[in-house]
Amino acid sequence: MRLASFTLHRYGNYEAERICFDARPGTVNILLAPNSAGKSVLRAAFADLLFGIHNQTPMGFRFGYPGMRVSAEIARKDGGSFAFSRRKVRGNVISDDSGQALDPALLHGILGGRDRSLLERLFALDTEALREGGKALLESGGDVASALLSAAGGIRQARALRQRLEKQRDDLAPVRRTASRPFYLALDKFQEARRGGRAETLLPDEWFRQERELQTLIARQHSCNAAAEAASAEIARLERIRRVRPVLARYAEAEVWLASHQDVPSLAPELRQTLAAVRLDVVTQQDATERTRAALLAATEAVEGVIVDADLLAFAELIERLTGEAGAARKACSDLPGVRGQYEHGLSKIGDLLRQLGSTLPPERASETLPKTALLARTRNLIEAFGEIAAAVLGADGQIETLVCDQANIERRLDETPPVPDARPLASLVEAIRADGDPAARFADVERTLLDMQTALNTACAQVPGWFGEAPALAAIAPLTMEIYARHEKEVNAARSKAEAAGQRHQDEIGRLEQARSALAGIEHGGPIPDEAALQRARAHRDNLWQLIYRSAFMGEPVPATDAQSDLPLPLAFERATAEADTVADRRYGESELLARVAAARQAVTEAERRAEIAAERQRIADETLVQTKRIWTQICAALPLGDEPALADIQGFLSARERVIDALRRRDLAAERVAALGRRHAEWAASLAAALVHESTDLPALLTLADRTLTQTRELREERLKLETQKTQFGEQLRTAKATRSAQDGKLEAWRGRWRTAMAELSRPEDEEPGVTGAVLETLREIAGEYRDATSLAERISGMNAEIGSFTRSVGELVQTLPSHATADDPFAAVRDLSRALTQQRELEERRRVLRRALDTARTNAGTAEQALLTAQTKQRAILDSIGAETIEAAEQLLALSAERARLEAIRQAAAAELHEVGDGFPIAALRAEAGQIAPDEAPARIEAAAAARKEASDAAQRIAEEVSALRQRMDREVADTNVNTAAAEQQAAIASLSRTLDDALVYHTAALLLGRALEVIEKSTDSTLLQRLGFIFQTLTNGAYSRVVTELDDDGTARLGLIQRDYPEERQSIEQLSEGTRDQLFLALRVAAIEDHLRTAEPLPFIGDDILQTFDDDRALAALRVLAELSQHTQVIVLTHHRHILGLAARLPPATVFECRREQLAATV
Amino acid sequence: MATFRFLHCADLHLDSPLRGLEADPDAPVDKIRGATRDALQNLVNFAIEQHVDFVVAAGDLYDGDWQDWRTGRFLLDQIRRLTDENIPFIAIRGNHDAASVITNNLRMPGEAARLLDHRRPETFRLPDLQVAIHGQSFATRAVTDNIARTYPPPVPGWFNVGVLHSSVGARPLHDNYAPCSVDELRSHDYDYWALGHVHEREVLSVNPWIVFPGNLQGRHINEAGPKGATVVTVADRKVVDVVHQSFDTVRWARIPVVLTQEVDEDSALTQVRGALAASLEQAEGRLLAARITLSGACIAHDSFVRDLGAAREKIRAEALALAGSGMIWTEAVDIATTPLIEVAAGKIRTDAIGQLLRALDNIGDSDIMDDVRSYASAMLDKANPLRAAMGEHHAATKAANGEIAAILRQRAQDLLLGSLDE
Repeated sequence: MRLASFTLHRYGNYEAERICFDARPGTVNILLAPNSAGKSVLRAAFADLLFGIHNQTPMGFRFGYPGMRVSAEIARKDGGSFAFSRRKVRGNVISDDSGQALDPALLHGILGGRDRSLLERLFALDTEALREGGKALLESGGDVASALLSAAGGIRQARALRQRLEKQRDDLAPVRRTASRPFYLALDKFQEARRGGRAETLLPDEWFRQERELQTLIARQHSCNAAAEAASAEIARLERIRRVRPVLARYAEAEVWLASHQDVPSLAPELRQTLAAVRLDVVTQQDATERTRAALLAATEAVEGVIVDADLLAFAELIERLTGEAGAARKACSDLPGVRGQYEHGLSKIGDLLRQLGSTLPPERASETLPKTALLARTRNLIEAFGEIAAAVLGADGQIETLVCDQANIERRLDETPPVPDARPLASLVEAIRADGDPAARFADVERTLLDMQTALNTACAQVPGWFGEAPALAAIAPLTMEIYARHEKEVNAARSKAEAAGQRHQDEIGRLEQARSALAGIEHGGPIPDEAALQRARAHRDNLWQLIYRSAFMGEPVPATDAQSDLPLPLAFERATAEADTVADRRYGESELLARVAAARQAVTEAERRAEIAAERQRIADETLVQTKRIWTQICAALPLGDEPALADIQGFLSARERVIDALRRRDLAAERVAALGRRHAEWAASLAAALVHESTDLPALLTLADRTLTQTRELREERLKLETQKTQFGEQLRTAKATRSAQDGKLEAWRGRWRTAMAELSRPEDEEPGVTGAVLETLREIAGEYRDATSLAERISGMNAEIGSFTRSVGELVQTLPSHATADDPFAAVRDLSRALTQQRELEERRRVLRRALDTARTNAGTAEQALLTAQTKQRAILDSIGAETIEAAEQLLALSAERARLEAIRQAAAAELHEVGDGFPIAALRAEAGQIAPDEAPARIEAAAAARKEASDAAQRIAEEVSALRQRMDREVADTNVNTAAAEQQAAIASLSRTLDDALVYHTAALLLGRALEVIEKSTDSTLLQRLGFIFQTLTNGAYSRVVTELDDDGTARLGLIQRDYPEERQSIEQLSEGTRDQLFLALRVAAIEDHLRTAEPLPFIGDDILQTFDDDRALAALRVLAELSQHTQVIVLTHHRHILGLAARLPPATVFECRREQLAATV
Repeated sequence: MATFRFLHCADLHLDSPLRGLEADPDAPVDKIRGATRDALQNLVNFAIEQHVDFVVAAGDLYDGDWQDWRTGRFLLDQIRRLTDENIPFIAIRGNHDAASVITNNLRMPGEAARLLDHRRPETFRLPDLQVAIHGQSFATRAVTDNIARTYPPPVPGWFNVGVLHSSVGARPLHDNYAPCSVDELRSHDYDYWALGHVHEREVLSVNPWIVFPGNLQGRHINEAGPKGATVVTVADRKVVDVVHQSFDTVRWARIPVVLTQEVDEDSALTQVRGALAASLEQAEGRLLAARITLSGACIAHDSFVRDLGAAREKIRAEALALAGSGMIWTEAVDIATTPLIEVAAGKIRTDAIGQLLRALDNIGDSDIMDDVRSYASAMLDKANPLRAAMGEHHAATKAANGEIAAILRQRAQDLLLGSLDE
């Protein structure tokens, strides 16, 4: 699919615009558009055209959705074209120009199942993606599979993805225990919950055992409680007797006294305290009355002793004011002489200045000579304006003179300079020759490349193992594929392994046969087996000896000390006989197994012999197979110069080396062809240059040098003439300007003179007075004005000081005459001081008399109050005595004492009765007296103690049992209420759920990582050399030959990685990490171009859109990239979007029609 | 004959822990831990409030390996509540509680509660109602005899109820204990067969009524939906009404969310929230234990599989945002979405995706089997009972046994394809 034009209506920031492309193969379309001019919008529009406009596309940001339409005109292979559009309508169908829906199959044929994602990932490339691709190459370390996938628009970092998957797995459930990982956290909880569940289970047997224990304890508790209650009843009776006995005694004693004092009156007990209080009050009030009277007398005397001068106090305010004014008057007296001196000095200075101006006025009238301020300012401005006009006139005269002189010089030099010849044809020719750089350098490059290629070819030939012939002959060999060699080599190895295994197996079977035979011989060569009689004899001998020992030791019978058979002492003989009997028995027992063992050993020998024969046969077959496979191996390797039985690695090395030779041979031939072609072009250029320069030489560099020199001279001459003419024009212009300036200054000077004459008349100065002289006069007038202002101010100050001193002296004199006893009129300041001091003294006396008067008033009030209180107290005392019924105080106190004793004994009797009722458990007093009489007082404590001991014993036992019952009940209640077992079960299930989920996810990550790893291995193996060769060629072009090849090499991990070979260092392999950032980007671009070419081998082409992909390339490599894109455009249309105008300049160096600058046409807006 | 009602329940599995719920600090732990007890309490409350005339329990009162006596006490407390209200409780042992140490020590509170004999069929009579309840407890865990055949003939003129713990024919996920057939049961001329053992509610026959009430409280995701007992109303010896009454306090629900092609992550979460809201409404105020399964080829797949843990957290957060804590417990979130790439079409492409897909095609299970098995075995061997806890159907258990589950491989491949355009 190739675009002829692309039209956008109300899409993104485009209202109505058509962009025209060149659809011819071999042409790179460059669309120049500044940043923010919608390059990304164009990319989106192209994708929308092919795959539909999304319902909520953001491209309505300017015009909304109505009228949104994307159209394209597609160039067909037959030279015709067809157009279709995609509108933003329901259904997203494609339509023709008239809006009629088209068959969607039209697009299906073009797209071939490819989706938007593929378009954007494979056929679109921008700066950011290019940079990201370069970075991904670096991060993958040049891993081939990752690089190919990345360039093909797939996974950017396949290895990194695999590592990420493994990390995600290990984050969940690593094989090595890591306590913080979710799997192990859950596992720990699982085990903990299991343990907890077992520990917390309450088994029924345990529960019922506890219930039985509880019932037993409750019965025992009831028994103990009954015993304690009986003891408590006895103790209560004894304790009651002990409690009531002393109370009964008190009750009886009170009854006796009350019977003998029946005539004593009952007086209120509080009368005693009331009488004492009244007596104390009377005495207290008498003492207070005397003290207040004495205080009143003393206060009266103190007030009468203080005398105050009221006349002086009447003038207190005036005295205070004069005291304040005394300071200011004293300062005026001291400053007055100095101020008068300053005033007279000022008048003298004004007189001098007036005389300088020729004035005879006295200084006091100096103001009459001073002009108005506005006149002075106007005159000063006129003086300044005169200076500026005079300087301008002088400058203009000098400039005119200089310019006239310079103009004459320039005209003379122009006359001496020769005319400029036309060098444009020569320049065009030279530019064309140098369009691809310096021809000599380029020729040297291609020659060096040829030499490098030849060297590389020789090296590659030398590195082919076992080959000493020429490269073409090596290329002519037709080896089999590596798969065939590998398969046969595998068969040989398998056969060899089998043969070795069969041999080993045979040897093993022989060994086992020998072992079986040896075992059989060992069994068959054993000693004779003792019979039953021998066993009986041995046992009889042993028993006989035991009888002898027994009889000797326990029955006291005389027996021989030694054994008759062996002549040994009896104990030793018995021990030996026992051992012999056991040995015989053991051999007899073993006999029963012997025959079975012999039979089994013979069977084992037979079996071993059979297996040895089978092993021998298998070894023979394996050996024959090995010989056969070796013979085939030798046959298929015969074409290779590697001997009869080369190793697979040798063959692989040979074939790889051969591939390198073929590659080097192709490159050498290509380089030679380029040298020849370039030579022919150089000859043509030399002929053209010689004709243009009218020169006989055919040496292109010499002719280029001559042409450069000619062009330089022409350019310098043209520049010189242009410079002189420019200067001549500039001087003429400047001269005209200077003369106009001079004329303008003359006008200004005349106007100034008119204003000057007016000012001089107002100042009464001569009208032709020089401005400098007038300036000096104005300065003198300014000084006079200043001095006059100062003198006026001083005269006013002297007048004020005199008035102040006079007023103060008069006031003081009048006061002294009024108060002659307090001051004299000689010195007003001393008089004021004396009056002030006297005033202070009189004020102090007045304050003291006021205080004493207040004290006298208080004393008078206190005396009246005390006398009234005394009278009241005496009245109360008489009333109390009347209520007691006594005439005197003493009689009253006696009656009160008897009444109090009667009340005390009545209270004792009543309290005893109440206490008896309380402590006697409610029994009547008579009953209590009878109960107390039953037991002697000294008998009760012992009986109480005995009962208490019995009760304590029973209570303690009951308490202990109650505690046990309570503890057991609490434990049972806790156990029943305890939900720990349910919690443990729930936690166990929760842990299982976590384990299940965690392990499930981890297993998915693990499996995905494994699948990816295996997939990468498959991709590595399936990557063919053609793709790598194509990649190398593109990269070589992109780097202008700086890199000659791209190869693959296995690293230590067995991963294939990309390696780069530089033209200048063909023996070295450069890794991705060693590339500069820009070169990595170019490698990624090469990978992308190779991937697109690879893709297009089986798919319809789609336009490749590069968005500013060359902006990071320098000019040389940008030009090289354009060449690569031009070659790509043979396979599919290439559209480069850029905002760099210089890309177009670079493109001009390419052959004509290689680059097409896309046209943009604004259309009429439609909705 | 008077009109009466009775409750038929089965498979109480008291104190059996709910399974599949991961620990969650925000979840109502007490509600989940006590779900089976709460369900029984709900049943008893209902029986008392509605004045039902008796309650029949058709076996499996608790799990067989459960030994904690507190469970027995709780059961007795609840039965006592019934009998205190003059509501008889008649039960049999099923396969689970037959050999339980709890059963061996269970003493029914009074004559109104009866655990029927395990040696022979026994008949419990309610003379006031003229109801005869026939049944036989399991003597052992596995009763393979057709014990229904030995049940006594119906009492003439009475309403006869047969209580039996059996799957009545072979059923998936259920052992075929006390084997019998529907026809055999019909031939007994009983009026109602109160069955237990199958946890899904099912009516096998309406003439006579042969009913599985399902279990009282779902305990895992395979016991989803309303759970409870059957309320049977009888008038003049005829069953006139049979209705299900829910007593569960935790409602299990599978929530499938099918995502279409254009659905991105935000849209997917919105759909999840909608589906959750619907299920929550059906749960009628109960705690919803939900398994959310996302499926379909969609845009959201890539971001979901890139970090499964984060995706689950987002979905759990949706549940939390929808109902607050304590209303939804997300049992599991299955990310079963697939990438937008059409695998079949992708394989013929010549770009990276095509390369990778073809490469994956060339990888057989045997190529990765050793590594997968090694990893799975290593993890499962970290603790002795782990394999049993995971169950034989878990992908890791299968892998350790030398089998790569198809779903495991599919998920791994989908994960890879979802990562292609990162």
